Formats: sequence, structure tokens, C-alpha cells
Amino acid sequence: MDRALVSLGQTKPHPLDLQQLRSDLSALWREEGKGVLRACHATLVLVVSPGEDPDPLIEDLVLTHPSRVLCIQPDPKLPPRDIVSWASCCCMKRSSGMLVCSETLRFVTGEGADERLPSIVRSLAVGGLPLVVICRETSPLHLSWIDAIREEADMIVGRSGGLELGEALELWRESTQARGTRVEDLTWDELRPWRSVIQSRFDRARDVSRLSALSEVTLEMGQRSSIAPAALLLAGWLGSRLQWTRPERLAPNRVRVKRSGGEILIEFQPGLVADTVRFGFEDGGEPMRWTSKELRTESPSGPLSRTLHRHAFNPVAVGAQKMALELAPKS
Amino acid sequence: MTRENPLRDPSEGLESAPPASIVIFGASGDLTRRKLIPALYNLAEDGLLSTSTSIIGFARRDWTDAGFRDAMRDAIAEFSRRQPLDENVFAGLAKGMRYIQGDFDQPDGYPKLAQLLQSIEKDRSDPGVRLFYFATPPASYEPIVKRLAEHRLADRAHPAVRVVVEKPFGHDLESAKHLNAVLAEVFEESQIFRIDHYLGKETVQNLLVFRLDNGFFEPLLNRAYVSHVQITVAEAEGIGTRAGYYENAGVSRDMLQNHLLQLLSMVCMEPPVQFEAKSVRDEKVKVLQAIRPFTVQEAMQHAVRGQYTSGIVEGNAVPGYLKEEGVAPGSTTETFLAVRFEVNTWRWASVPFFLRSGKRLPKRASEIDIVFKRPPYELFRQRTASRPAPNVLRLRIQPEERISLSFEAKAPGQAFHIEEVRMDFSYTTSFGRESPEAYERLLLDALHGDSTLFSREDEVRLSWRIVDSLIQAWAEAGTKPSLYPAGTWGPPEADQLPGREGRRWIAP
Repeated sequence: MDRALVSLGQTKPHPLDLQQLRSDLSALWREEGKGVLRACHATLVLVVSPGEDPDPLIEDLVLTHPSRVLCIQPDPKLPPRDIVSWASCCCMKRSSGMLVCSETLRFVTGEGADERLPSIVRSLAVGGLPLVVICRETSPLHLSWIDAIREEADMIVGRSGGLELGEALELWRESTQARGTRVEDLTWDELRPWRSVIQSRFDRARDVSRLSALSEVTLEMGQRSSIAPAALLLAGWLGSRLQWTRPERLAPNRVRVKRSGGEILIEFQPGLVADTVRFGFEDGGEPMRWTSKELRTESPSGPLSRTLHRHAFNPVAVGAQKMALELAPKS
Repeated sequence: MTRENPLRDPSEGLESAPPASIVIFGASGDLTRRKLIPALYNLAEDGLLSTSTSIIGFARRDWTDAGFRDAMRDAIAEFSRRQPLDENVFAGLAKGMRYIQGDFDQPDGYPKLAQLLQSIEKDRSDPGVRLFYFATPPASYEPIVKRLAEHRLADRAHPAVRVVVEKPFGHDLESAKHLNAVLAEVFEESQIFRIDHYLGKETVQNLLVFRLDNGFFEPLLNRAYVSHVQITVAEAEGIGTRAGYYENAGVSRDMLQNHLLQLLSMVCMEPPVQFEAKSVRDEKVKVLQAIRPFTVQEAMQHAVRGQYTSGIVEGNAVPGYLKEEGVAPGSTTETFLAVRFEVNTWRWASVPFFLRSGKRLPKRASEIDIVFKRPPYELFRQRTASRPAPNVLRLRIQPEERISLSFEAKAPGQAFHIEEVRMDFSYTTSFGRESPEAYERLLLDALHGDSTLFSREDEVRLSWRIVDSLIQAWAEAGTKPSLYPAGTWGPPEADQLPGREGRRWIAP
């Protein structure tokens, strides 16, 4: 069973002392005794928001990526520069009974403790394994401590869907650079169910020909009044695949583009009840509509798992991000 | 006039297969229930099947569409590696499931099949792939192919029309040639996918990556450094209810002709110029060409066959082969085979390859052991009582998929003890979730039209040439299989094969 997770326990939180942390970790292993393998996929540095419970994601993630996880979580209530840490081990049980154990080292950080983080990551990263920094709610490009370890990291994962539009655009600019440490956007993989459901519709003969009569695309996504980065990225994917050109901004949330033989009006709106994508056509036929309710559900770590397994720049994603940058407001 | 879907992008690799109509002949059988439908379900759960996938069951059983769907639902609930069944995923798959009752060799069902395929494909932006899967006894292959041609369901003009053929592919060289000729009347070779599910296993695929994408092992894999190679495919199970098939096949036809020789080809092949079907298969063929068929004398010297008697396997008493249901009294069918090959190429000349396979062995295990030569001078022999062990590169295929390398190390302490230690790579510790089933990979490849992991006509022909020579030699010599108690590693003569050369089998 994939989901047979066994906990080896957790040590007590204490002020940061890496030596103590390592002995705590060894103690957890000693207590378990034989029949345990140490996970060795990567060192994953997971940055989580204050108050967020990262355990469900970590437990799900280590099933696909048995790794050492360094989980970093700011806590404004801690005294400045303080870091509290503890260790835990979470194992998956294989059908043979063997346990594969992923170590999680948790660090709760007070304000101003950032400058201590690069040295912690360097010290605890497992030598010879890939080092991946994952930032789901804040921009990895705006954390100076991530910048300090950027050259040592093999991949930096941001999530445009959780960012302000300006930060998302920055992330895509970085992500489309084919040099230096790879920067990936998790939202690309979170949008896969959308791409899949829209793409499948046009496997039908009577529908594919309608793409040449597409005249309106409305993307109702996110709760904010500003354009949701996820909606912009999805529009970017459509535009890059359907070869839209010459975007012209009509209003902050409306863009007109050229397609072969006509024009398409793209509109971005908040998703009030559910996220929705609509296509209108100039052939007078029925519009098409997809909602988030009909999407395939994924495990919490499903999209992240795909991002981590990708070993090269994805030309389709890069094309979508470049088009999203063209469709985005310039200011 | 049809047009391709511009939103479907092949550069996203395995993101999803194209729209497809998968026709399973033998839809009420065990293979469909245990392997094919669970594999298709898992592909759907991974989002790797197009939502425009139709699965059309074709069999004699009196089922309706709904009855077929119910039976397949039960099959997934029982045999899928993912549990519990996801109702939404199944609903998506079931939407495209249809059933046609028909005899494989009677014309009745085929017009209905033609009509159904036409109506399904008409509704797609492009007709997509039409995949005929022969999950039937081999005797049905020929009548099905003929009926498909008669009803214009398959022809060589459409590369997206493909056929997947299960092993055994023929009973001997002549029958394999005949079957190839029957298929070649209707299909191009590029449309024929001869499946050997061993090639869909991760470790087998990884064998090429391991050899050819790492700089440090490939230079060592040759006669200068390798002492010998062992390939073991062991089964703890007996023949179950398959006596009808097994009595006529034996382990030589059931395992050597396909799995064992495929593994041998993968170990021995030269690097292909490209990683694509033709280049890879060209290199595999060269390996089979480099193995000489056995003379009677060579077969007596280099091959041992056995048949299990009663014994204890995994703690349970089991009957001997002759007591199994459906086995003829006095049957001489071999349930164990050990054989020594040489691959006569510049790289491998004079390196022995010991292959063995059998039923009712102590455990289920498949692995390839590449045993390296000892250093030319035993520097530490005077200082240690330990027996010097060769370095062994072990590629384990089942039950768990892993690669390990054993080497010598000084044990800690004042005494100069040298002990064998291992470096281990396990899919489990490095990649987490269990590997997909081999059938998932192979079905997906067939849908994508990638035949790299399938056997080509000449591979099949050459492997039968080798196996036939053994079987004919045994017949000419008039020998019978040696007996071995169930739960042991075959008859004692099998140990003498490597033993004569001062080597021994490595326990999996």
C-alpha cells in the first residue's frame, strides 16, 4: 500500500543546536533498529507560511520523493533571530515490510533569523544528492537567504498561483531563462488537470474545427479582483499552442489577440463560486465551458512530484510562460 | 477532412496517449482481468490516457456492455496496484467500454466490431490509434488476423492501426515463421507489437540507462574484466491451472525463448546509435546472431533440465509436477532449465553466460549477476583468512527492483579481516512510490507507437533457432529431465555447470 506510513517519532523542540539535532535524529534511528532504509532521493528545503500545517504535504511528498526534508517556517511570535528546531522521521512501509525513512528537520524562525538559514541548509543537506528549494506561498526570488544558496541548489520551485501578479511575472522571467539554477513554477503542474480537460474536448472532430472560430476566452479564476496568475498562465498555454499574436490591452483585465483569420477577446475575472473557463465562438454555435468541479483531483503532492521529476526545461511550459508575459499588464 | 488537435502536444512526452480504440480479444480471460484492465485504469488515474479512449471487449462470454463494465470494475478492485478504486477515474474509463460477443474464428462479431469502431472514430478529431490486443490462446491468433483483414478492420496502409501479440509467439521456429507470415499479410512489421512483459520492468529498461548513460561501468563490461554472467528467473509457483499450455511448452519455450534471451540481449548488446526502436533492436539481434545453436553433444554438456517432485516451498508442502492437475502420467516436460551460453562477439568471446529458470524453486526472484574477475595479484591473501570474493554487479528485477555492487572492504579492528560489503541502489529509497506495472509502460508505448521494448520478427526467429536446437538435441539423445525436490534450486547437475569451471550460482 502506497499510503502505509509509519512514524519513528519526533524529538522535543529546542533552540537551534545542530549537534543536538543530529544526535536526536540518530536516537530516532537507533530506537527503530533493523529493517529501515534511509531515503535518498534529494534534500528538499520546504518553505511554509506562518501557521500552515506542513505535515500532510510532507507525508504525501516523501511517498514519491523519499528525501531529507528541511522545513522552514517563520513565526512572528518568536524572539528576533531565534530558531527552534526538532526532528522527526516518517517512513513508508513497503510490501516486503521494509521501512524507507524520510527525515524531516523542522525549523521555526523568528524575525531576522534568515541570515542563519543558508549555513543550516549547507550543513544539513545530504552530500551528493540534489538540493531543491520549494517555496509555495512566497516568492523564492524575494528571500535573500535563498539567493545565498542559489548556486548550490539544483532547482528552485516557486508557485506563481500563490503570488501577487508582479511576483508571478518575475518568476516566469526567471523560469524562462535557460541558464543558471533552474527555476520552476509549480502552478504549471497544478494546471495540468485544466490543460487535460480542455485539450481532450478537442479530440472530437466536430469540436477541433471550431478552434478556428474561437472569438472569446473568459477565465474566471481566483478570488482577487486583479488577474490571477494561474489564469494568465493558462491563457498563455492556450495562446502559445494556438499561436495567438499581437496582444492589445483593452482594459486592465481584457486583452485582444490576433489568430489566423480573426481576433479573440480574452477576459480575466475572479471565480466567484468555482473557477471557470469559457470559450465563445463566432460560428454561432454553443459556447464551451469547464469548471474546477469537473477536474481530476490530485494528491497534495501530485503537481510538486511532477515538477521534481522533470529534469530539463519543459518547452511547452516555457512557451506558455512567455505568452503569459506578453498577455500580462505592462505596469 | 480531419484536423489534428493543436492543444495536444507530443513534446509533453508521456503526458497522455492519443485518442485510441483498444480492442481486447479474450476480454473475459485472466490476462485481461489481472493485467490489462488494471494497467489501463492506472494509466487513466495518472492522466496518461486520452479521455477519448474506448476499450472494446471481444469474447465468447454472454455479456452486455454493462456486464463487461461490472466485471472490469471488479477486476480493478481486485488487481490494481492502486487501492481503493477511484470511482471518478473508473467512470471516465467505463464511459468508453463496450462489449461484443463473438467467436474469434466465426464472422458474426466482426461486422459489429467494424460498425462500432467506425462510429467511435468518426466522432474524433482524428481517428486515433486502433489497437488490437490478442489476449487469447495462440491458436486464435491466425483466425483473428484473417477475420480482421476480411472485414477491413486492419491493413498495412494505416500506421495507427496496431496489433499487440502475447507470448508464446509460436511453438517452435517453424510455427513462429508461419505466425509471422500470417501477421505480415495484414500488418507491416512496424504495426506489430510482440509483447514480453519483462521488457516493461523498470530495472530492465534501466539496464540500458545504467550501462550507456554512466561513464564508469560500460568500459568494464567486456571479456577483459567480466568473469561470467548469471541470469536467474526463478518462480516459487507451480503450474497452477496451466497444465494444458505448460505440458506442451516447458520452461524452455515458456521462459528461455523470451524472457531469458531478452535479458541476455540487453546485457550483451552494443550501444545503439540512437535510442529508438530500430537501432536498439538491431543491436539485440546481433547478440542472438552471435549465439551458436547447440549440437547434441553441446546440449548434453552445457544444458541441464529438470522436473520438480514433491517438496516444501515457502513453508508449504506441494505436489510433484506429475501429480499436478492435467499433467500426463510420465510427462517429460521440463520445469527447470540451466544452460551455459557463449556470445561470440569481440566484447564477450569466451565469457560464459549461465542462465537458469524454473518452477517450484525456493523463491520468486529474477536477477542478473555480472561477476567481475579478481585482481591479477592477490595482495592481501597472506594477511587474511577470508575467502576472496569477486566484485558482483547485481541487477535485481523482481520481487523488488534494485541494483547493487559488492566489493571487498577491510573490517574495522586490529585484525586484517576483509569482508564483502554492498552498495545498494533501490528504486524504493530513491524514487518512492512503487514502479508502474510493466503492462502500463508497454500499453502506453504501443499507444504511442514506440516499439523499442517489443520483440521484432528476426529476434523471435533467432531465439527460436537457439531453443529449437536444445529441444531437438534432447529428443535425439532420448534423455529425460533430472528430478529435483520442489523448494530447491534445481537438480544437482545444474550446480556442475558453473562448478566445472570453479564457479557457483549466486543465490538470489
